[in-house]
Amino acid sequence: MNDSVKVDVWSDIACPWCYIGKRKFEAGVSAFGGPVEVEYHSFELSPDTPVDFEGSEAEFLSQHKGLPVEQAQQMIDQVAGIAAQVDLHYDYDALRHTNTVKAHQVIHLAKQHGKQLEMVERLFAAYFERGEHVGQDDSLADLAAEVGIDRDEVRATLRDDSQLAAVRADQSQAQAYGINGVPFFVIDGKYGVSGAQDPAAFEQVLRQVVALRESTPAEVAEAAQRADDDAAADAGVTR
Amino acid sequence: MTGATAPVGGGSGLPAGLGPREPVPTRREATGRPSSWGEAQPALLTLVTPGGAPVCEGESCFVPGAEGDWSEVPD
Repeated sequence: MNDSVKVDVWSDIACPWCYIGKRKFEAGVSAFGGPVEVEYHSFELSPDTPVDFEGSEAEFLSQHKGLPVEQAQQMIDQVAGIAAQVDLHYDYDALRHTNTVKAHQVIHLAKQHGKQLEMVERLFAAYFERGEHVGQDDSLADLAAEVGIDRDEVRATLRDDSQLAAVRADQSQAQAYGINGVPFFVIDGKYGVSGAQDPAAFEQVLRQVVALRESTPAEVAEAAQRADDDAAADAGVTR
Repeated sequence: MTGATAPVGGGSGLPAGLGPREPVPTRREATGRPSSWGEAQPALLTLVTPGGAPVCEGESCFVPGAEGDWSEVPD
């Protein structure tokens, strides 16, 4: 068996918890200390979002959710404060709200060049910290060039939608797994972790998965069944 | 999310090496991988950790509040 732990991450560039979760996951991996192979997968939270939205994030949120702008701003400040706790500096005043399907295509192109992780990081930073557009071809070509991908190849990819099938395949896999929220982490292709967990939780899960490799599939299934039974019993008690 | 949520340290039945404060594997609804991932795989098991963790679902992002309420935060 391969010694490294494979982690497949479903996330969206426009997801504040995905970037925060990325930082927390990375800290967990660092504490774990063993080899971990990470691959990102596409998830579109809001596929109907237009490429361009004229207005602030608070205005978008206000219009979209039917909230007063002041309340939307409060919510924005709250998440920005949480991001700051993991040394991310979300700039919602500069943020360019957009559709992310093209950014996902660029991430898949970057994977073919062995630069997926750099591309994901650059796109998150562009969206949340730097107020750069991640929905337009030229802007995406510039961002990809920064991690060493040819601008013309990016433009051709986006023009032809040549990575769209890969994006859709990721979305189908998410659906098959029952994933409807991100970030979501699938470890060794068998175990799922939902949300921006704390680093200690990620570390513990990675250790646990390595320990579970010593178990037979039947033992793991039996343990899962017992955990289900325990949960059902606890639910009955609290009902 | 379709996976069941089990309380941490839910008593007996944990695989060897799992302590009472460690994540608990729970069965998760999944139909297996599509052909691009190779042969069908067994259902995904969700490792549950205390208190849940913030996620974005659809056009909403939620974070558990201090008193167990859920507050919405921007996408």
